[in-house]
Amino acid sequence: MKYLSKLHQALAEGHFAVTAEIGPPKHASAQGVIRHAQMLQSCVDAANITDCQTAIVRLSSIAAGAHILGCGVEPIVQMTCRDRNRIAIQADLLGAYSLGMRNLLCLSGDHQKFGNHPSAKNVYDLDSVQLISLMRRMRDESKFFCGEEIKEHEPRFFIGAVANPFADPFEYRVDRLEKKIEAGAQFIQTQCVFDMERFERFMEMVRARGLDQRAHILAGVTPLKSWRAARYLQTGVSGMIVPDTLVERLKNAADPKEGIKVCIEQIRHIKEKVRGVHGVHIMAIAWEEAVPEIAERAGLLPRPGLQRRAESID
Amino acid sequence: MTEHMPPCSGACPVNTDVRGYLAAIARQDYAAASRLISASNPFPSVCAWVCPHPCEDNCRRGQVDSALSIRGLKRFAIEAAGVIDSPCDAPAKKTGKKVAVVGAGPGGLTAAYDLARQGHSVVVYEKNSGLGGHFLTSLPTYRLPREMLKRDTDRILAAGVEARTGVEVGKDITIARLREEYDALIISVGLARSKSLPLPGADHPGVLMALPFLHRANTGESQATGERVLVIGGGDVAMDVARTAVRLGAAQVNTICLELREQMPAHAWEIEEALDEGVILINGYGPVEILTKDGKIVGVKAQKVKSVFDPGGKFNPTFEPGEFLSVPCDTVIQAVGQVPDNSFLNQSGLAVDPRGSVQTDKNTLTTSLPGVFTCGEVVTGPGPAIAAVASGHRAAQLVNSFLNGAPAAGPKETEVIGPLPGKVRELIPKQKRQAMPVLAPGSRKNNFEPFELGFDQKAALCEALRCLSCGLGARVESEKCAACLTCLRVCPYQAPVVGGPAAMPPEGCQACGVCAAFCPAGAISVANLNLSAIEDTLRAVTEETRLVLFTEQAACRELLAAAGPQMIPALKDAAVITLPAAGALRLEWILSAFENGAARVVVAQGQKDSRHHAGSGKYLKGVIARAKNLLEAAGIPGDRLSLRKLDEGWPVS
Amino acid sequence: MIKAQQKDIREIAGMVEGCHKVLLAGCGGCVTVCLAGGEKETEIAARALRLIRKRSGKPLETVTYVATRQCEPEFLAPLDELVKDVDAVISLACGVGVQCLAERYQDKWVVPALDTKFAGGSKETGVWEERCGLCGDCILHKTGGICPVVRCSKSILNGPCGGSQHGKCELGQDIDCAWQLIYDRMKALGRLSELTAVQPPKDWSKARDGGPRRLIREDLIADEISE
Ligand SMILES: Cc1cc2nc3c(=O)[nH]c(=O)nc-3n(C[C@H](O)[C@H](O)[C@H](O)COP(=O)(O)OP(=O)(O)OC[C@H]3O[C@@H](n4cnc5c(N)ncnc54)[C@H](O)[C@@H]3O)c2cc1C
Ligand code: SF4
Ligand code: SF4
Ligand code: SF4
Repeated sequence: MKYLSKLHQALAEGHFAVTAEIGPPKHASAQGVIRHAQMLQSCVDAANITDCQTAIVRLSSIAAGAHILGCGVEPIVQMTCRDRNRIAIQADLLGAYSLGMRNLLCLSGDHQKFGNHPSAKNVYDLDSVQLISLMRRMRDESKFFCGEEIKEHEPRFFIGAVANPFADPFEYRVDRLEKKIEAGAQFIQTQCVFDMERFERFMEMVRARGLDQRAHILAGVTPLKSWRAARYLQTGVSGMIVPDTLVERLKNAADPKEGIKVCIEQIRHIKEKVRGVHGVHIMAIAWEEAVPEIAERAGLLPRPGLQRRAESID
Repeated sequence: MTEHMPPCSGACPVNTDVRGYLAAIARQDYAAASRLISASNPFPSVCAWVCPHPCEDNCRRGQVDSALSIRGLKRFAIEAAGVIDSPCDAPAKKTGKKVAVVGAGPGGLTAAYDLARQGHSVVVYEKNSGLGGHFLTSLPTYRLPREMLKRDTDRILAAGVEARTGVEVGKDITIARLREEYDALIISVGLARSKSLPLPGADHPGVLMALPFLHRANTGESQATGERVLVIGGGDVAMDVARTAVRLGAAQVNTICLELREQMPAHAWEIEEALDEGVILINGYGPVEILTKDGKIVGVKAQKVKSVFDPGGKFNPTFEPGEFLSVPCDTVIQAVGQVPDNSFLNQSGLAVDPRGSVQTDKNTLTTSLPGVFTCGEVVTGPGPAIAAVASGHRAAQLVNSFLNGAPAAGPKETEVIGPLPGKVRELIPKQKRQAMPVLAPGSRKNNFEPFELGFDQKAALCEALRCLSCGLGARVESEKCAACLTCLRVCPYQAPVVGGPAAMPPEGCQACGVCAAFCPAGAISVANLNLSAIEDTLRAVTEETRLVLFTEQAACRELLAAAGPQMIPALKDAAVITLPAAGALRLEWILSAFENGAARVVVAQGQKDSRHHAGSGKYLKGVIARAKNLLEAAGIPGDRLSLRKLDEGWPVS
Repeated sequence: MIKAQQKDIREIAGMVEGCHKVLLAGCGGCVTVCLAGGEKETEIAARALRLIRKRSGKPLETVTYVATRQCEPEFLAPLDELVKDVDAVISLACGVGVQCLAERYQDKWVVPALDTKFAGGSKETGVWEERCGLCGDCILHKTGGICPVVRCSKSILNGPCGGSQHGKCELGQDIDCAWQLIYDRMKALGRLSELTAVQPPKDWSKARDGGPRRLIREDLIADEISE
């Protein structure tokens, strides 16, 4: 069997995968990205590079991907529908593939209203489901989005999507996940899980439909630096649920690293108790240095046979 | 287009512009009010005192709380204005035609006045020594001071009417003679005689008749009234008689009538006032005999009434057999109705009806002889004086066209506005009717002083402002209407109907003017809003104008001033624009005021929006904010424009 | 209908700064209905402009006229006389009206007094909301009669995105999540299954094309030859 990427291979071989997130900087130097990549190199299977997250202008996802590739970390290129029409998206993704990028995560993208260019015109020529479906067709049927044939060297991405079990309408979240899987999503990264109970209900529905068999689900986790950060996510970010008990726990904790402890407990719980989850996606917002410690203490290390798998990649 | 007449005017026999004069009072233009009152009524002063006001019975305010005190306001206006000579009172160019009027009651004098103003030479023949008919002879002076009558008759005479008093037609001069001398004749002899019940004992000299009794009382002629008076009758005249007897010093005054209290033909307030003065009512009994003993009256025997009216509603009393009552008394006064004195018919050649009265066509007011017309109660039967006035107008109109050989104009096409829709009724804020101040029964019982004291200015203004301005509402120019629904959305009463172009049914529209302020198409005009006057006032604004004040009607100037000097400091020199509701304010007007140089603009609003139109001011804040923004764009500080709400409960306190 | 909003009066004043006499042309169509450019607003704008100019010592003369609809050439004829001696025309119509005037009066400075906002309807008194994106290819039959193109802030055709919470859009509490509405309605109508199909990308060529979109009704195109 040929794998589309190392991440693909790790998942396909049944390893409990670990991904993390790297946010490119608001300037033109790759130094920070490289440092992060070096830090993550031995403890993740791949790293997401965000695409102008929260609609703030940052070094491009694909360029940053090229930098971390050089550090031996496999990038997951994030592509939002906000900033590019179908022509630009295809052009950029052809370029990304040519640079060696193999994982693609398709998203709608945060609305520009909250970014640093609120007066920008958004694009949304396509939505994330359409993007997934068109990228799958490009790979499997060698066709541009318009249907025109790609004569040779079609990009062959391992395609991922996101799911948010904490947004509404809850019942429809699984339907939409299925829609994405139907469209061609092979791996799914979820929104940060804080409300474990709701996540488990979500997974129950996912399993009931056999979706965990059709795509690899990676649960998103986030170590919270402080109770204030928790409170902010609870009240200031749409589509997040942070239980009060968690906020209280962080507030009352003596240990400044209580957030890491919580995160580790969550990972252990997910790994051991929640069937159908094939990995975790650690989003250490502004706390990238915490990732190695979390991976270590959660028993996710060492990451299995990187070298061997690399060879089998096409 | 048919004119929408408010029900007050509709109920008034001469269609007095009630709404118009109430509005004039509200804006303190008493001369205008007085002119409007007199426009269709040559007896404004008399009516202001004694009219039984059918207008009030029909006032739509009555569907909300209680009717306007229309007569009270009329009296206030007449008194506040004083005597006004309107230019139309000057005798017109003579036509050379001569008209004789028989009888100087309100009917005859109205006809005479109208004809004189049309240029005809009019002579009124009156058997009494003065003018006014029952006004002069019969109405008790505590209700009608005679100087009120004189005010009205003087004005009539000033219009060129010649009066020959002390001349009884039929005796001193015949109708036939008058026909020879005059081109036309109007007979308006009224109902001059009291009816008498054919009871055993009724021919006793102690049995008095209402009209002579009242006449003597009015002229101060002494008459023997005993200690215990019994008045027979249940109408207004009976009440006048009873109350007069009280004033003449009778120790006890009873009235007896067939009807139960609520069936009595007398107006409720007349009964109330009589009771206050100690009159005792004996209801449901019909006198059957005057009891005498030793040549003196000792009482009246009466039989219990079973029913007054038959199932068809016709007057047809039946009695309980064997159930009698006897009321002791020493004087009996019959007040059971008036009939014409037909002595004028003597040698007239006029055809006579079965009742022995002159035969008349009620529509054309003609008699069997060409050129001889009739009017007043002799035709219409008993009723309020204003009905006789209306009949006099009609007669004048018909005689004028008879003299000119032209057909008389038909009545105007009008439609009386229907009742308030239920939901509108709920939405109109309640406002208490001002009570007419009166002398206490104790201090009026023993004299003939006028017992109603009249409104003071404050009460009058508050009362006048209760008028709903029925029919002065919004009209839509349908070609301009964009059917945008704004009027319906802003109307405090949801009165507009917007299917295609909007329409405001006069029943629901309360004439607040709010819709017109918001109509984006300028399609709405509101009769209650004098646009040209507003534009004139704004045009007259100059750099010297320190303040332009937009105030809702309820916040009229006098009351505003009373609200305190700190409220509106420069009120004295202000250009004042009165609006039915503050919500009728238009942004354009504010801009114009400043464009023409006004230093400041104040919008005055009652505490709860307008007192009159709850909810009509809910957009004002936004309008003012928008205006301020525009002013600031022109470099005018926003604080030069302000919205002032007046104290809670104001202006009534 | 088209919904528009009057520009800040200072901006309008700036457009006609050098003029001595201007014509304010209102429109009796959509902009009257949305209270932006009918007779009343035309009058307000005229008075406000005069006030501004008077205060700055350079009085401005104004003429006002409200056309039945500025988007129809026939209704503009009465303006022909009025424009003659003005230095500029201020149109209180939507962008269509402004252009119709500019086209008709080639040598006149024609400026807009309104910002043309959207195609929408009334929500409540004084509040209007966009309903149609004029995309040229209606999909309302697929989305329960609720247009995701304009009512979803990301125009997502396979929504809702992950920002939808408690029925509101991630943009804020005052915006309903269009996809929640679509979901609720389809559910109520028993048609949820229709939402499972992946909606293909939209053919935006029908929404914006080279040059202005144009409609032609063949049954109203006169056939000159056979006549
Ligand atoms: C006691 C009483 C109280 C009333 N109170 C009120 C009230 O409060 N409010 C109200 O609106 N109405 C009241 N009315 C009714 C009102 O007075 C009459 O409706 C009104 O006066 C009728 O007017 P007229 O012109 O038809 O007749 P009249 O007023 O009766 O006038 C007829 C005139 O013709 C004269 N006349 C008669 N025969 C001859 C003749 N042969 N030659 C010359 N002259 C003649 C009479 O002397 C009299 O002056 C009252 C009536 C009475 C009797
Ligand atoms: S509210 Fe005024 S206009 Fe209406 S019926 Fe009464 S008095 Fe007449
Ligand atoms: S507000 Fe004016 S344009 Fe709008 S429906 Fe009413 S009358 Fe017609
Ligand atoms: S807003 Fe006022 S004037 Fe207009 S219809 Fe309603 S009640 Fe009448």
